Amino acid sequence: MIAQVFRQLAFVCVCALLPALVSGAWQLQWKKEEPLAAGEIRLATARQWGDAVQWVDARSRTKYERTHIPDALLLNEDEWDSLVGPFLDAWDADKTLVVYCDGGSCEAAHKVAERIRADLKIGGVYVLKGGWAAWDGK
Amino acid sequence: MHFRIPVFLIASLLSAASSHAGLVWDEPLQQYQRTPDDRAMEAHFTFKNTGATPVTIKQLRSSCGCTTARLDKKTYAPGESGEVLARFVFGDRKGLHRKTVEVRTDDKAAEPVILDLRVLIHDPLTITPALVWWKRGDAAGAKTVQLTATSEQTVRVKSVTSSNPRLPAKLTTAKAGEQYVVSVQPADTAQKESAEISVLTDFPIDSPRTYIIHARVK
Amino acid sequence: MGRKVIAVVRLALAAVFLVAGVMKIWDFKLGHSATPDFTVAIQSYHLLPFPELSALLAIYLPWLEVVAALALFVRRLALGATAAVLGMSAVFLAAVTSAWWRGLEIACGCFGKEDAMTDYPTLILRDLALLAACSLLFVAEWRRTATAAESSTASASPAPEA
Repeated sequence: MIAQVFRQLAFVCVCALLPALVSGAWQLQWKKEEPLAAGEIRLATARQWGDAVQWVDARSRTKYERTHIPDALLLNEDEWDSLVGPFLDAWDADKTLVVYCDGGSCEAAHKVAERIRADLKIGGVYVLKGGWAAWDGK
Repeated sequence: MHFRIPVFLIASLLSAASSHAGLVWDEPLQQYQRTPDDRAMEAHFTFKNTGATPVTIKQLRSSCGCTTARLDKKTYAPGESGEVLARFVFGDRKGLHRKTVEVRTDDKAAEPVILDLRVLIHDPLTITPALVWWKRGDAAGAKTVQLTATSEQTVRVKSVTSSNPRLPAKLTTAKAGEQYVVSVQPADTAQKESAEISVLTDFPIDSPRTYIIHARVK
Repeated sequence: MGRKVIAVVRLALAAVFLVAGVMKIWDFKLGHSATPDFTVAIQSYHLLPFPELSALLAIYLPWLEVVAALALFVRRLALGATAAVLGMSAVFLAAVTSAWWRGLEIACGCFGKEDAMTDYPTLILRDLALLAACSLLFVAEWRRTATAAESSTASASPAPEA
């Protein structure tokens, strides 16, 4: 009986695999990786930099307080004036800043990165492609 | 306060002409200039249902948590007008900001309309750079910060005060009301230091603004 | 258990999984593949170690839902298909509960792209109902298969204690 369940289950799973393979192959044709916008890096690149990365969370305080990338510093434009002081105290000049926001086009992260470059004249600031949605929780 | 009048409003006739029947927007793109003291602004996006059937607005989606969009009601009869009220809360934003609201209706054939609000939040005094810093062990040379008032507005800098005596700041007037230089020089760079330098101005008169220059020895 | 009840449960489950699967494969509103959106939805749960894994699952899972939904009506596959929908329901419930537990603010992704953030209590109730329906059908299928097996052995070889 139990063997029968698993036999049938396996058959169903394999049946689903066939159209999935076709659809997967078809999707790969056009689903080339989205090009990076200026100043963006992929998660894989940030990973390679390892400890040399200082994450900057450009999302809202509420979202940051709920959860964030470990050791990320909160800096957003809603509360820029009050956040920038503590941010600079914690900032380590030897690290590369990588800013992230919720996901999608990440306008907020780009704005924060731009302002770090323009107002504070800190170079080597990047934006995480895909934002928080791209973060894999490690 | 100041700069209350929209600098220029572009009536986007093109987009109005291209959307067949249904909702026709008077100004889907609006541009404004504001100052940080305004704190927030509201833009009215008016429209008219020029089609032969009622149109229901299904969804308004704004690009930023800082912008909210509101409607008085959802369904508009043929010939009826309405408006989407977009409210943008500046927070501590400066410079040019583009906030969009996507409007989806029950008209499946119509593409969603993007309402485009562009606001230049214009600070009458610019500070470059807002951060001066030294690495520990660096030569303790002075670093300067330029304070520049925009051409439209005279801003006098009255004083600068450092929160940390080991990172003193000195104000020099290059041209009163227009250009000032703040020079910051650490006593030494032997240890980590942190100072916020307050720049007191005379603008606006009723509640003069204080700007902050950050100084660090890292 | 009434046969009619089982038939209705089977039909309802098949409809739910078929619709859920199809909507995760193709976005009819926007007229393109729904896989990228579903990949993002899976990623937002932060349960899988690699983004690539989310993409693979986003391609495969919807088809499993569709095939399992159809196989519910095939006599010789119904038991396995019921096990498949039962398993999926359990996994969905676990994923949603863990997302709630971790305080994630995400869209469920249950029926393709959704704009609204998930209302967890409603969603968990819905998943519990789904799980209950699947369990009911599984028990029914198990009995049916067991009876069929018994009667076939009974007719093939004489009962030992006749």
